[in-house]
Amino acid sequence: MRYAFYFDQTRCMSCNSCSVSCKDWNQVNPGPVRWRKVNTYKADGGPIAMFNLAMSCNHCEEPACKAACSQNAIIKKDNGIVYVDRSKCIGLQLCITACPFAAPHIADDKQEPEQKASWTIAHPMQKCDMCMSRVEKGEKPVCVASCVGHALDFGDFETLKSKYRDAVQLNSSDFPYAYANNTTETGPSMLIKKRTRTVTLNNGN
Amino acid sequence: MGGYAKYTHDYSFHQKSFFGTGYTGYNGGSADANTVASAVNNIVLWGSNALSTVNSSAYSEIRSVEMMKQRGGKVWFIGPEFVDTGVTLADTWYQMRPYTDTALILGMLHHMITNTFDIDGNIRNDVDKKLQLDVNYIDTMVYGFFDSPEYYVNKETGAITFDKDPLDGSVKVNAVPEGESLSAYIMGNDDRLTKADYTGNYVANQFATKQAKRNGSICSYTAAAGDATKYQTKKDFLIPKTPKWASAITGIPEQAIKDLAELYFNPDNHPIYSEWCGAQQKQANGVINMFALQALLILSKTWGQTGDGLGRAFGGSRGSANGTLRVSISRPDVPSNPTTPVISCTQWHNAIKFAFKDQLAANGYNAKYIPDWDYANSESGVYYEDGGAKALYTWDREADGKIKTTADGYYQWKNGEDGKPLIAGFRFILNSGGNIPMNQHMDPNDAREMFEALDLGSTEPDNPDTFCMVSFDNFLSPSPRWSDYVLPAATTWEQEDIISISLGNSLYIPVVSNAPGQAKSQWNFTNDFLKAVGNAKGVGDELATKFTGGVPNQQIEDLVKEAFGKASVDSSSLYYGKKWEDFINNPYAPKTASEYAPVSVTKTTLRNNLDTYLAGDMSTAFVPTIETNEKAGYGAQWLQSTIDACPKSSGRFHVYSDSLVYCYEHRFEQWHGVLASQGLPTGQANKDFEGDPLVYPIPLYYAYEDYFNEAYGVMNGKNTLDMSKGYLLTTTHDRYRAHSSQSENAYLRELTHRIKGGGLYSGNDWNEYGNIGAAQEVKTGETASLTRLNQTIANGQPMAGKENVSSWSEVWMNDQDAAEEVIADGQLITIGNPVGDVRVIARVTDRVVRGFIGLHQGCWYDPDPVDGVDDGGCANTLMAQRPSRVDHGNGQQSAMVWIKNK
Ligand code: SF4
Ligand code: SF4
Repeated sequence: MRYAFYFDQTRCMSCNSCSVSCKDWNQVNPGPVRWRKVNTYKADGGPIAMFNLAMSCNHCEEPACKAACSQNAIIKKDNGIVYVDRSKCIGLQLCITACPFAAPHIADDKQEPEQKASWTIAHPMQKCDMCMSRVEKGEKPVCVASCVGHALDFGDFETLKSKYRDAVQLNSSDFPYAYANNTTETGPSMLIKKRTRTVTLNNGN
Repeated sequence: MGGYAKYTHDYSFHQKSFFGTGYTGYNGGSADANTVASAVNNIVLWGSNALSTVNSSAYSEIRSVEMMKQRGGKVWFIGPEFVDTGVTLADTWYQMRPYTDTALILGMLHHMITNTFDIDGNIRNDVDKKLQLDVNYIDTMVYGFFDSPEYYVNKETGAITFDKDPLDGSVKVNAVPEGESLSAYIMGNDDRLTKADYTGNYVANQFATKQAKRNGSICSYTAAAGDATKYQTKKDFLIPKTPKWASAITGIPEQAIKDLAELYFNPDNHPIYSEWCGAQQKQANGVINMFALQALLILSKTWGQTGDGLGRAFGGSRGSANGTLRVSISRPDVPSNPTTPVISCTQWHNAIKFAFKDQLAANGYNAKYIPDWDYANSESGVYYEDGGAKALYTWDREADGKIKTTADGYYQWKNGEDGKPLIAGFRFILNSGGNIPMNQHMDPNDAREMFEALDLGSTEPDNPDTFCMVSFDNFLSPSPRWSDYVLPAATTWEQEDIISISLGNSLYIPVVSNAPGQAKSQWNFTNDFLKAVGNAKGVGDELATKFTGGVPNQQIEDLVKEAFGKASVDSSSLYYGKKWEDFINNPYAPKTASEYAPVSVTKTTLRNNLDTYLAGDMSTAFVPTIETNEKAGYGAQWLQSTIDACPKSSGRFHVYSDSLVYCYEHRFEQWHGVLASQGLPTGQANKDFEGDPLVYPIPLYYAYEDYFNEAYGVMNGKNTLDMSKGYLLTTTHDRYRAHSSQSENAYLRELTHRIKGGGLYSGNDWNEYGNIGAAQEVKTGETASLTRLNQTIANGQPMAGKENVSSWSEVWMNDQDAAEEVIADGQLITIGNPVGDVRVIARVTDRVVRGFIGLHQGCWYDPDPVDGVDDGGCANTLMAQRPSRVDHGNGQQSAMVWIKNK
């Protein structure tokens, strides 16, 4: 079993229902930290920005974040979910530079006003945990459940692959804009139906 | 309570609702997702951002377009801003400047005319017939594309006669005077249509007996001031509206305009579904955009078969499953409202100003917008009169409420003790869950000045000599902030309701959690309010009980339970044998018909008959059976003599509507006895600054420069403007403020607000906003003044230490323009015009056209107390408070702005 996300780039309308429901469900206060981000990118050489990407942590097979963390604060479960044990984090922020996708986050005092007793620092790293508690109950992550465009799906990597035959695994040549930090090969558990359609301006003029 | 003031239309769709399809008779339907998925071949989005604004149909629209594309279908997006719907669905973006839709359509029609007629007026044989106008169709079905003589038509037989009424039930149809038809205007001084013979089929041959050539003259519209006219619109009368002309106005290349014309006119591309949008009709001349679009669809025969049509977002198949619950409430004893003038909702502010003119002036209100029909004295330029504001007198009624009439047929008004007519205006407003008084109306600076100059009514709410506004809401938006009383309302989750999902079925929503404190549901508020009124009137709970359906304190739940009780024992019901708990857990019973069921393209009977007719020799009459408006719309209380003289419907589609002009000029006439008694004109004056008409019978292109020159006081010499440095601004709806009540939801606000220099997601002033947090708590017996909304901003800058949290709304600005202006992404700038100024943060993007700035609508007005600049970023702060042409609606997506500070 390897849980993964599926994203249909042709259907996403960048409504942010996924990212807002994520903050709401996971009690991430309003503020810069946002576990799932939705952006509209420009294709290389394309005339205008038009490629939507809704992405969180990709729960990689070879998590660069985990490898970088000397405190073993990042854990990969058997079902593929990569989560952080926030009480182990001492704020080295090695994961932040290691992750290609800028998926780990550190909040500030305003967004996270209270330090939990078990934490050793005020703002340990936080990131998407695939809604572990929902998944354990057999529910889908909240972003998937709230996706207005039916662009997100969730399930076992192989099952998703056979369900969505035209999807590809997230990779740096098809989706360079997803790689905010580096292009380390981490085996992301993220399948994407790529948008190939481009926009013509004024009938080509 | 004795009645209420009636109004018409709303701030969302005023111009669309006003124009409807009745003036042209356009009869193309709207599509549902099934039709799009299986029949439509092309979708043209006229600026539509339906995915963001109509959430409930977003997926059906995405999915059905996906299926359409699998069949090779295409989506075309036209507009200045490539909104999320464009990004998601469109194959082509026509980069059009705002407010220029009509110029685009005229350029397309010019191309079709020159594809069809050579310079000598002969039909061309060197162009594929599919890329020409179907002239026989136009002659048969369309009134006013070409000039035509006055005639009589028998609507049963289609027979046309001239000169005298044949007395067989025929109606007299007015001439389309020489040079005044739509084609004459389009061709300007190009005379080819004055050489083209009226010949071909029955109608053309009949007309030819009176008028040999299709157009009697080149364009004969003129300006009273001649060449000295200050109006670009009128300077354009004699200019041929070529694709090149349209290209210079719209910014769309000439060839692309021709291609779009051929897309529409070539029948191989049909069915074509056109989606109008809010913005297209919420501009200064939005009614004309709707008129022009319908003219295009009529002329290109985009009607009469499945999928050819005009509408908004498309959802799945609508309708309830058989056996779903039916809930109804009967209120037989509630008397109907007495007759009152039905005025445009945009006239409420004027109605207050009318009632309190003296008080406002005495209290120092600078009177810049007190209704003043004399443009020479008006700082804001001509104010199209009057949308009904002049009808708000106190009426002299019979005991049964019926208004007496004068010998001349006018409604009888009452005089006050001073012998002058008693102005009623508006003296009390119950603002229930709305933000129109301050935020959604144009020019909140003016509204603020007005509300602040009115005597406080709070100690005497019953006193008609003081204005009183009560807001009942759960958001302390700007309108409650300027109210005399604010009553707390329960939120959506704290009150039961029956809601109807857009494009879907109705749904009963129970209370999820109880409302805190004194907050009430809408229902209980009304019930309790009527009890209080009843007690004051000495009738106890009688009024309240009438409201709750004859059962004291009856709740919606009681009604639903009662209906459910019956359904649960009815074997034909979906709820047969079910428990109440089952229903509450799953109240939604959608129709089970499969989604996106294949739909075949079929034609209407009329279209079938027409196609058969056009395939024949066409020597006999065809019966077109199109119904258009004669006496129509709000304010249609007219004198009998006026009704008798109404222009008649020709039975064909109208792309020339004399009734549009006639209705404009006579609107509200019967309420204007006071004016008549003073020897003043009644109805609405159809005159612009130069004495030429405001309203023409055809969809002519009103140049936006003229609108700004009128609105900003250039036409009457009160101001000068350098338009070469101005930017065109409109106010798209983004998803995060699909309604302005969502403006201060912190999770949504942070998606559109940015700190100085910050990225898109960085702006967030959660807990530091005037509405939220402990700072606002006022204990019983204490008083407090409201702080301004943004508590981290002072003098237009972040307060010290608040640099990472003070945020402003973003505006979208073209990347090349920003480079020229030396404005960086994330820079704090002030944009403004003679109406007002706002501070905003630039978002530099290639998703808007050059010369355009997009400030998304719905931000809350929050003026800086020192310099008056709106840090809230409310788009209306930039909007002239003047009604839109023709309908007196809100043209508040039209502003020219200058970058004032960067
Ligand atoms: S996306 Fe980044 S944070 Fe998530 S598992 Fe991969 S490397 Fe780690
Ligand atoms: S909810 Fe779905 S459609 Fe909306 S932004 Fe997220 S992935 Fe895209």
